[in-house]
Amino acid sequence: MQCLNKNKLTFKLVLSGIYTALALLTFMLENLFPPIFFFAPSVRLGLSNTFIFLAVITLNEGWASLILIIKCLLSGIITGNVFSIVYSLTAGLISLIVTSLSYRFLYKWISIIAISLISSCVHNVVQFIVASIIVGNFFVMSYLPIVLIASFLAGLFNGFLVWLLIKNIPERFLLIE
Amino acid sequence: MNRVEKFQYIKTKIPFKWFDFAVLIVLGLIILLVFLLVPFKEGERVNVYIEGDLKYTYSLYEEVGFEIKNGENINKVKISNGKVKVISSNCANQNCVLHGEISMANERIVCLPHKLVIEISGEEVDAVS
Repeated sequence: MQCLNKNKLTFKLVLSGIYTALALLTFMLENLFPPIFFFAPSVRLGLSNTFIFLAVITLNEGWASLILIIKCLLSGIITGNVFSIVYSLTAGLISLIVTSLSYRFLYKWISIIAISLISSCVHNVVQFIVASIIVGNFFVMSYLPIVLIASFLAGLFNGFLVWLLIKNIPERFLLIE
Repeated sequence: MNRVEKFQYIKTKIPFKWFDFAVLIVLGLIILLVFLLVPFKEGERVNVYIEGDLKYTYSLYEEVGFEIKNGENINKVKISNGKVKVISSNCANQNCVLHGEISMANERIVCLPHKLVIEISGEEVDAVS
């Protein structure tokens, strides 16, 4: 590992490449499974966002936004649903801003699980606002209660997953001083 | 705390702090509020909106199947036994077909690629809109 630590930029580049690949992989795997709730097919666990949160913690906000943009563009192209880039990117960027601000300033008081909870709720609310702007009315909002509960659970799960990953992966693979 | 200290803190301590409960309570209250604002009622009419405009309206209790055409976009919809569902669609993601049946007031089937909303309204339509 000494050779990896020699060049900081190379380390960060490799790490962000790995995060991007893992985020895309989990996104594709999630797409293979049928929707969890039959009445709301767009509800997913959002496992790929754990790696973006991990990038906020171990790299910094700039790298995380780069990973997010590449992940959104590539996932839109791979699934063939280019239309979805619009709302996944806006929601992702806004929730990334919320995540990084709360990690930077609120971490003294709240844990990463709570931060993940907040950002997953923000993600879904922003996605709903963008969707209702595209459709042209606010009728889509009636899904909001179900989706908010789902995002609450998904946020808890993802935050716990981030904590497990940080706890169990050796520090020399994740962090450079 | 800088980045490394925060990382060490996450790695070594349990992932809960006292203010987490405040976050949980606030978010739970927001969700409860949203739930109360969107009540579930018996439906009366089926309204079809394309790009935000009301195009067709049907009674929920008639037995009818129809096609919604908007240029190249075609959705086949069926109403029977007080339930509405999209049978087939030529959109990219098929979310409207996967959504299944709806029967209660304020429930919606949305087809984002076609900018189509199928909504069941209750009695007090005018009060809401």
